[in-house]
Amino acid sequence: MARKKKTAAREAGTGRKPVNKLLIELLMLNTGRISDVIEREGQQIFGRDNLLSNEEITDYSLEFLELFASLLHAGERIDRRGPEYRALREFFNTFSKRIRARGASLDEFVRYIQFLQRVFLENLDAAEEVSFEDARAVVVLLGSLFNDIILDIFHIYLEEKERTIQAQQEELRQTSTPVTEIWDGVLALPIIGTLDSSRAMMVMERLLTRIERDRAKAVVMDVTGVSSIDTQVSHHLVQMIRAISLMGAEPILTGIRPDIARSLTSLNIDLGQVTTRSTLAEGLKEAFRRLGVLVGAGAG
Amino acid sequence: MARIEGMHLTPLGGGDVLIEPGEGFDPTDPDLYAEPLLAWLQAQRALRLIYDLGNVVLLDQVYYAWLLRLERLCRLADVELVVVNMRPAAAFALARILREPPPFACALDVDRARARPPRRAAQARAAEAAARCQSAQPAKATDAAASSSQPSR
Repeated sequence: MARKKKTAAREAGTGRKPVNKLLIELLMLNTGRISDVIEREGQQIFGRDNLLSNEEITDYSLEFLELFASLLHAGERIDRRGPEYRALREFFNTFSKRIRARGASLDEFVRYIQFLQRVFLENLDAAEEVSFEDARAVVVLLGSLFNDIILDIFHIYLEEKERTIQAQQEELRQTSTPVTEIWDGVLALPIIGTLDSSRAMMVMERLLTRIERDRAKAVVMDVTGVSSIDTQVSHHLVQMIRAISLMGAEPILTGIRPDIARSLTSLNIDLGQVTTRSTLAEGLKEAFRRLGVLVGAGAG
Repeated sequence: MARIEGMHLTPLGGGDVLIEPGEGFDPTDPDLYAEPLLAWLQAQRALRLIYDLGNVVLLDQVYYAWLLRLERLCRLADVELVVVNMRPAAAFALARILREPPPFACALDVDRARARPPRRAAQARAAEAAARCQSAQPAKATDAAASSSQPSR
């Protein structure tokens, strides 16, 4: 704040124009040329892969110049919290979303922003009456403004990526532990992969709700797809089995491979009171038997 | 329907009794309920006590200790305790604190609890099965099993 005041005082003392005003003048003098260059470069970057049509590029270029001019007009200093800055930021946000939705990468967007910055600097170079101090102030202003916009867009991009990854992880979790009603009152739960605490809690919650909703009598838990078992996983398994019993359904554990069985015995996990069957098919047969359902090969 | 402070008791017939803990029930003081409950069960000639947990949202150590105490009490009176209507959240919480399976039976609801074979009959059948294995005359053992599996009450 003190620095800004000092700069303003210096500008007032030396009779220099504020940077914003200088930029506006440059923009007014060369609007046609700047607009043409921006359109042409935009077509090179985005038109090549049909990311944007020529009309869209023209519209975006004009909109950008309009918003940029509003920002410069808003005051002697650029206010990062002002509506003009927010409008420009929103414009770039929408613009980057649009081009990324059409297959562009963030690199292309950054290249475009850098190009916009260059256009103004080149115009500054061409203006003979601009002093070195003014030129330096313009470079600093443009650099900080466009870098902030790039950073903003990058953060938004990262947040979106993060949300996508989380949604995919959630979807994977949901699909990797499907609770299926195989028969009236018989639920099957194939467990694939590892069973960490958060996944075990989620599976248990869904399973218990299904037991209540479907009035399940038996639950066949198949661990054929469990890659390895340690103390934590076995602990979760035992908790699940116990919770199923507490709900009044009968748990049947199937698909315990020899290596898993060896791990369970070495971990002193006692599954003595749990009904176990070698395969999911055998487990289902056991569940049907308990329900009094007869399953056999047809006569044909 | 009878009422002991904080709980409703309903004879369902066939030796089954339904117990529903209510608003005023305090599981931290099992002594308050033990004696009148046992007296009532014995007066009803109860064979099975069906404990409805439908209104119990969370089962903690204190509530589980009460259930254990009740199960011991029931065992002394030769009454089977069956817990029903446990909410998923309660089962979830209880499964996390249990170190061994509970000594009482669990069923999804009252109908399922009543459909379970009575413990005494189940014990009798187990004894008969053991006797059959030892016996060299399967036909006679089957006859004996048939005659002894008649309801005792």
